Amino acid sequence: MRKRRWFGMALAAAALWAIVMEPAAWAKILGVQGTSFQLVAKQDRITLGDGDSVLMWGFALGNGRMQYPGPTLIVNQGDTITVNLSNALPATAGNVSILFPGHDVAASGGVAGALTREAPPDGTTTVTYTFTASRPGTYVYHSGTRPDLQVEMGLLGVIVVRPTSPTPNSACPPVPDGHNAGPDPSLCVGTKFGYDHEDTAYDREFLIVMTDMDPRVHRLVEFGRMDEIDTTNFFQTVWFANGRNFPDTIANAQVPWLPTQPYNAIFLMHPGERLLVRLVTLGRDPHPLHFHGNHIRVIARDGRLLSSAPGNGPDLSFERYTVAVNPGQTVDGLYRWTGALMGWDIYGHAPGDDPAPYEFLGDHGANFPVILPSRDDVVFGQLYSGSPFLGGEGSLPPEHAGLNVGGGFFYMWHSHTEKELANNNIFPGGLITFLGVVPWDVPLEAE
Amino acid sequence: MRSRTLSVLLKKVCLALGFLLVWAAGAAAVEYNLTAKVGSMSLPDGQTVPIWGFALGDGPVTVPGPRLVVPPGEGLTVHLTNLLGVPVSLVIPGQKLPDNNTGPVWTDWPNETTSWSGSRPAGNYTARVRSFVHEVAPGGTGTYTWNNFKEGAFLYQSGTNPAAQVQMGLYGAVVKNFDVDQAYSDSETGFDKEILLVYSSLDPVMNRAIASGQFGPGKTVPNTRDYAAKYFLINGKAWPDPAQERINGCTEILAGEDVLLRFLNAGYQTFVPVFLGPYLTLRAEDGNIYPFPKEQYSLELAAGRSVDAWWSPSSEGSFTLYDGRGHLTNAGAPTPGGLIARLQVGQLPADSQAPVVTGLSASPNPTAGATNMALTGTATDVATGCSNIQAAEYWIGSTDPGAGSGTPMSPADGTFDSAEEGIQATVDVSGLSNGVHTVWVRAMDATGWGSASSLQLQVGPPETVAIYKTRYRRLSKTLKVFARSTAAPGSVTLTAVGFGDLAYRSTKNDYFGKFKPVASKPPTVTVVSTGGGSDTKPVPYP
Repeated sequence: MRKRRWFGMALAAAALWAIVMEPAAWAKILGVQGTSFQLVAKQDRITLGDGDSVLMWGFALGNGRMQYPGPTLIVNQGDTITVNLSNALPATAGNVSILFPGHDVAASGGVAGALTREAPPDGTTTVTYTFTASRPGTYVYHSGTRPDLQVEMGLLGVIVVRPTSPTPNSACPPVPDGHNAGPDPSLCVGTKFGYDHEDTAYDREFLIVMTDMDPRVHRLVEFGRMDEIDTTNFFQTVWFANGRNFPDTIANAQVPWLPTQPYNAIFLMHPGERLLVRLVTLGRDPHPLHFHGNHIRVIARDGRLLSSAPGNGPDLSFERYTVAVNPGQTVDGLYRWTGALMGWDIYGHAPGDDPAPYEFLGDHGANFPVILPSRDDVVFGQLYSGSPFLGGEGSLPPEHAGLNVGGGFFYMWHSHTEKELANNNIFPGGLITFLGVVPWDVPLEAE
Repeated sequence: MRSRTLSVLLKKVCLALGFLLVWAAGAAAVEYNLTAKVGSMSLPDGQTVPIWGFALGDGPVTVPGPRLVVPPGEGLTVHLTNLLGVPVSLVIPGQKLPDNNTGPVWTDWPNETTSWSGSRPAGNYTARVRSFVHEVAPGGTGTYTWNNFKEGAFLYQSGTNPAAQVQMGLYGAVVKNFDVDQAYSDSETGFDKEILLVYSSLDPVMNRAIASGQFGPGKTVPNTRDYAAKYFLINGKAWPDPAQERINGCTEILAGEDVLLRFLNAGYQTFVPVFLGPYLTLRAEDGNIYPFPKEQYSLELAAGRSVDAWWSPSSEGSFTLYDGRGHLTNAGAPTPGGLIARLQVGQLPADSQAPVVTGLSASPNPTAGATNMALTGTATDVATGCSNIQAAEYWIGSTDPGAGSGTPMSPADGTFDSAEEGIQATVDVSGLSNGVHTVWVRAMDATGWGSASSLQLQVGPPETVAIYKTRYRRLSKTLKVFARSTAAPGSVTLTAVGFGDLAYRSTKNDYFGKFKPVASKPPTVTVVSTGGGSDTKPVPYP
């Protein structure tokens, strides 16, 4: 296997929505940790994948800008969590509140609403929500005031509760049967746990918040035609992963040109690593997320392990290649990829070569099954490295964007409701993102 | 509340003999008399929408229909009387077809004058199925029998033209438990309290078109393709109806009890009930028990589905259910509506209030020459203390005969034994003078007689409605309709089918409607009256 160098920054930064090989970008759940959070409902704009600019209402962290989705709150099991909400939306938006399904919440301040206490749009009144993050898992929060409109407008977010046990450790992923040993232990990011059970171990975790939008509603809000809004007529034409449409989903996180959409949705891993994928849907419809590369093992729903009895771990887990999450629900899954059973050596090894970490030994040295056409006879996709092999670097045509400098394999993760792969009817767009598998000598950020 | 073909005494004899017990249990079938008829539903935003629904016997029509309970070990027999103008039938998805089924019923749709039962008529390759099972013709009575009834909570609904008839309101819940306090044979499924939550939805445009005969090929609403729900209901009501504040009604839930919440969806879309705060333990779906329970704060309630969820409240308080898919408005209004309901945990408050009477209906009204008028309503103490209703009475006119001295009304299910009772009376109106009379109804519980509710009864000859002018303006896309009615001034509501209600104008003693925009000139316009009259006239070219 050839050596790879780490150079991509300059090239990628030049591209509008390039994958930037910058470690901060992609290998973990971005969010805010703590026990006390100041959320302010604000009005701002986001950019759709087709370039449209849409008025939104969303949650901001204190003095920050509103973001879509709202800040991901990362907390520890057992902590008492306080969320202070104030409402800086225009008066026409009315009150705002927050619901925390799955948690037993005490609310104080503000005024009483149908579902919880609400903050009037005066910018100062604070509603305080307090709850104990008693169980680990993935949870949602969203507006409890006119949710049919305010969730559509963007007042939503996610809570991740980390377990108190088992204790994370530095172990590399275990070696599956028939695979080569792992890499030098210093390269492993360490083992973490999604839930309070050993069978929820993972190396990297990702969050996908799936939402939908009917832009007509946002326009009526912008034009002050509030009395024309009828949420029973919803008809969404734009779909989001982590608040962005493809191709923005695979741009870097926190890029300056998407100031209110800080989270991206490109996920990178090394072969053999275990991913904890946290799936959340908020909005109107479930969006069946389809996984390429491998099936995913569903281990939890609504922050509860699929377990036959307490302590048994996710023994009722099951594999799926498409997972639909109902609006308001959460689903967690474990995903792993080693390239096993492809039928050819994905590293392009000769039979006598040393196998790569976690390489499936059954295919070691097996020939690539076809003869590749010459470079000038094919059209290269933007994420093709120029080589069919993992970590390979072939020559690329002069006009090629060269986005895949690590020689990774890219697997599309997308809504299986195929009409959702569009931004207002423009394909490709919408609920598309990618998993990138890169060889172990391409460094990824430690979790 | 119900009669059994096999008396309790006989069962006891069988038990005493220790003989043929299995046979006796299998052969017993609880019997219900249901009536399909026209009714109306009042929505929290003030709209009143015509519905078709089921009533118990001669009682008031309700949506959802009366809850049917099949006792452990028994079967079910329903005698269905059809007072609608179209055939109806009864199916229970999740159960087998009725044992006495002779359907399906075929027609040469849209020509429905001829129908066939059983297999497709020989050589006819264009006939369509109208009904899954044998039908009950308008005015007739039919029987549906299920000898072996599967345990669980199910929807019973019309099996005839279900796309139209189910959303009109012809649905209800039927429950069979393994034992009085256990849902299934699995001992984990025991419960202290059982709450039924029937979700559904309503498109008033569709209901009005179907109720007024403007549904079908070539009519205002040709089919259900454009069904678009505007109201979202739990147990037939939308938030903020007072009943939703306490969806457990008069069922007292105490902390620590095992509560069985039975979710059913008679609507045409998936709902996602989210329980705010506590978790639910889902144990069964569509009457089938899961190998292992699921612990979730939400559940997927697809159209037609039944989900059984257990919950043991740890404390007293108010617990909210809402829809994760955002069906939280009444016809788009900005105030909270739709699928919100609360379960109240704690002792029922002591009863200090007398019951109220709701949903009064007189049929026919205007009497339009009829001798007898059927008076129905609901006497309820659910919101006023939860004591059982003990009596109900009515009188006509401004002179109150005194509490207890009116004409008694009877309970629709035969016995006054619950906090909410359908009540009914057949009133001879032949002696009443032509004109408007006020009919008063009140009910009594342990705290005494409640205050009376009333309705206006229009006594008189058959009503005739005449459209005397229609006008369509192409440029302004405006349709104007002028009509007159022989009913007492302003006593009826006239509706231009497909367009809307006409307003009564006292200055001209006519009914006038101006509808805009109307995209193109309709060939004709039909006006129907709540008094029974109707008229159709062509719309002239401008």
